[in-house]
Amino acid sequence: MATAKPHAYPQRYKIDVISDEQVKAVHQASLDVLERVGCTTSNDMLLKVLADHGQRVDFEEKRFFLDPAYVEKMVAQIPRNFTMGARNPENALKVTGEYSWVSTDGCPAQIIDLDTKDRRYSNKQDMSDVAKVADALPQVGILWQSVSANDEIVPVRPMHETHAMFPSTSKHIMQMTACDEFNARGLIEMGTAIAGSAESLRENPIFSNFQCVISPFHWDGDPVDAMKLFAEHGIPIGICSMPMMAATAPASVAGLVTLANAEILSGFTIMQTLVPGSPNFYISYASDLDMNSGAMNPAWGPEGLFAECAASAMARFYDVASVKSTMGTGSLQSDWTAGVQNSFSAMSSLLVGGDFFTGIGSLHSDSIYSLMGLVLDSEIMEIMFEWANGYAFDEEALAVGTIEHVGPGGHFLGEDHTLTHMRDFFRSRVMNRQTWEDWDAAGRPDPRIAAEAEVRRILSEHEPDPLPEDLEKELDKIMETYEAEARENEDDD
Amino acid sequence: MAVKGFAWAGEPLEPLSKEQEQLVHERSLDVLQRIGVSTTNDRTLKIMAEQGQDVDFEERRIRFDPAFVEQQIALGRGYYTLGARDPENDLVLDGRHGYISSEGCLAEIYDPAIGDRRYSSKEDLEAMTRLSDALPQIAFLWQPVSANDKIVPVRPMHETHAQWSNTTKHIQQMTAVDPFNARGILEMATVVAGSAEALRERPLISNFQCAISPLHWDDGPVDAIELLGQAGIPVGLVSMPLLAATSPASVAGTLVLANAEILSGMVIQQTLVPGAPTFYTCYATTMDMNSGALNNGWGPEDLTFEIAGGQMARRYGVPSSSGILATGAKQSDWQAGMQTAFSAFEKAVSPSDMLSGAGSYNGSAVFSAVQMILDCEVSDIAMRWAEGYSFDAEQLAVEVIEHVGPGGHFLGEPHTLQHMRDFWRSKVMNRLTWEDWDAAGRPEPWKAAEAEVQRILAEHEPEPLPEDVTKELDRIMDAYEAEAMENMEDD
Repeated sequence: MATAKPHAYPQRYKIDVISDEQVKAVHQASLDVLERVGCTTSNDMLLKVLADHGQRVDFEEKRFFLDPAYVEKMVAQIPRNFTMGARNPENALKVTGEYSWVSTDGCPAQIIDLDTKDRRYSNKQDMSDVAKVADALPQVGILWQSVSANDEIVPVRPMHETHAMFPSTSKHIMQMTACDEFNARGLIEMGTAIAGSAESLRENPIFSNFQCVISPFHWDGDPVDAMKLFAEHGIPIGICSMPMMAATAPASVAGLVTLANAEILSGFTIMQTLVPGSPNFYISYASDLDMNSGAMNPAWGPEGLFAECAASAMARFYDVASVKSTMGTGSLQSDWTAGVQNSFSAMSSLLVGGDFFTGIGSLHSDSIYSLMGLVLDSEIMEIMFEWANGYAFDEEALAVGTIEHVGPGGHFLGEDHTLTHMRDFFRSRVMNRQTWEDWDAAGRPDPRIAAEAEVRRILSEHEPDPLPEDLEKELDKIMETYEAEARENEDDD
Repeated sequence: MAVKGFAWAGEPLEPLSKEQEQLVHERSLDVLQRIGVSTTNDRTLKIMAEQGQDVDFEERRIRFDPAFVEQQIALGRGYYTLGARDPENDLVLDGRHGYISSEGCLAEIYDPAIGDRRYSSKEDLEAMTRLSDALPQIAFLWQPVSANDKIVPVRPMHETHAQWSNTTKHIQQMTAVDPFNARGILEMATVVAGSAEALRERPLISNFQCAISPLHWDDGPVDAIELLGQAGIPVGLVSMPLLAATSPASVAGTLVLANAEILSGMVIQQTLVPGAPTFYTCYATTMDMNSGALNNGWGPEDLTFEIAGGQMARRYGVPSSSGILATGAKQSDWQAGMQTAFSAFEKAVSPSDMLSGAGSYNGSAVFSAVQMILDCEVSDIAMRWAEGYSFDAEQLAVEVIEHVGPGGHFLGEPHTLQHMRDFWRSKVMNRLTWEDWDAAGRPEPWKAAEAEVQRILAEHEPEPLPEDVTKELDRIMDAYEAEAMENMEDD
């Protein structure tokens, strides 16, 4: 059982849920905000560079204000199309706006234990297991760091999380936990070793990365340094805003979309000033807030779903690649709520489009990872893949000859056409197909049981594309060097 | 309580390209010309021969001239309003809005008291109608369950009789497939409406009749089409082929067959009653290749069928009815959530005028009140999403963003306090912390739904019918029951 080639989901519909006028209103409001409110940052290098580029900078308040024309000029520099490489180049993704790929979710600190069915803190081995299962699922094209390597020291944990993945998958990795220069440098070294050279890494960036603004409107120093370094090595960088309605953004969908958009434009402007022409993509994880508990509610109801969809329309307006936030149920188990929320989100992704659908397999608002959830979510994506691809309407499929042969009152069961095509249709790996009686006698199993069996089967059978032994050793060596350096730095502190 | 529906401002999503849509149309006309339909309704054979169609009286088969098909279906073009006992619940059909009904007509019901399914009764039907009446997302009603405790020949009348006093919403009668029950139901509807004229103006009931796939029309349904059509009652033409069993093992071939059957029904209807209000109903579905059972709501093929029918209906300029919210699950689990959510969300961007129906398990075989509450929750999210949000200055909130500034928060802003209750809130989804949820025994949403069912059944009292109307309905019911008994004894 080899690595499953990733599904490229067709961006067939590209529905804009907000009108052209609304898109322009959000754009104009965002420019106003960036000019009048601006952003703060703890990165002195950034303040200096922006001042050099004629932007208004208050060095005392560490705040910059962006000229609308400058923002528009910088955003226009972003290339629409680029390649996301992979350890196995067959799994590379040609990002053009015609197709979308699905990623695993990240980066919860907890995982549902396969044996106890309870949550527990995750470790580096869990990350390796999740990567292996995702590698076997054709529905997944991109891997995030699905769980934290809590058993490793914090300063070098992002490197460990990625190190765990390289032998387990040959698909594209979106590194989303490295938010400082130290880890970025280590990952570039690993990437260079795998790609063969700095030049091949640039041509075949086997991983990408994204960095988050802190809502509202603050850029921490480290992420800016990390994204500069990554981009200088040809790594595609996403700019991520994750405001929460009524807490870190206004209590309105339009305000939420606007704030996220303005923040993403600020990140684009920073990136295109620091590394002109580097590939960037648009990421809005704008979400609802649970008014009872104050918790994040990324997939809760219509507001979050609508804000996710509006972000795709904004990215299309700027003609840049984008993430469409996908799934992220608030449910604590793979129950009715999880089925509803993740299916809504998945279908909305196929309807509005976006280059990367991130990501699948988590519970409890991205705070607990579940391998059973990963398999169930991949079933959701399989249905969407077939639904969005549509069906043949050639003469064979139209089947008028067969209808004529059967005639009124007959049946199609024994027709040659039926025997040829009866296996063409969707077959579920996890849904229950027993009769009521058999299902009742079996203790009324729900799809979690089938999903668990599928996880165990993949873990025992799946063999990812092997990592050459010398390469594995080299990666281990890099890991050890950085680990040692991190420990030294810790001792110094 | 006003009813809710899907309202999508954009162009409806179309699963078929224009070329594919044209192919389905053309091949359907081919099928009707070369293969035609068979029928046991002699009157139809005779009238079609008079209309110059190719009729084989021996084989009881009609082959239709394509130009005649196009001419007759054009007579049925147009949209109309479905009346309701309470005019506030009238449904204006316009090809842009979608309204959901309860599922029907299932012989079994899930009974929470025993934790199992059992055969349904007229009393169950009354209760499920009352429940539907209380749910704003249920805009009109089917007969959710069979009145298995009533004799077969007059059961459809009982099923409707059970509903009049338990809902003020539009009733789509979908179990009456013979002229006897059709006549009885028409009598009842006339009494409730006040007069035949009032009923014609605001039809409190609609109906549909099914072709038997492939390409056969039974005698009784054709008579019912004519009888109800003459009274101004909208009657839909239904095709429900099962892919690989009663239609070809291809999505395209199944759509060709379904479209041909629906068009044949419309041609018969418009020839018998020119201009009769009609609707297009494609309930094509897939089969479980293991067991041969119906698999509606299963996967991508079903999702395609559910909106392809609406697309064809828009081409012909008539209202449509499509499947929604079916699940193969036998309980309200992940599978039920997934299948119903896909089906509902698709309708948010591609609504058929009538969408049926909410509240079932096991491939529309077992009715579940609990699942109906959950289906309404799913539908509510999809409806709210489809409605969209305002992007005016107040909502864009630039001044608020400016006031808060970098690094601040919005929790105490007057704008937040003013708007924080604007948002959708779930009735059934768990919002407990992990610890509280674990301590509570890890409850699933169906528990909250079960409590909601009990609450509604205890509290909801539909607007009563005038006493004389109730008495008259009972009298009609008794008269038909007596007549049916007599006919049975004669046999």
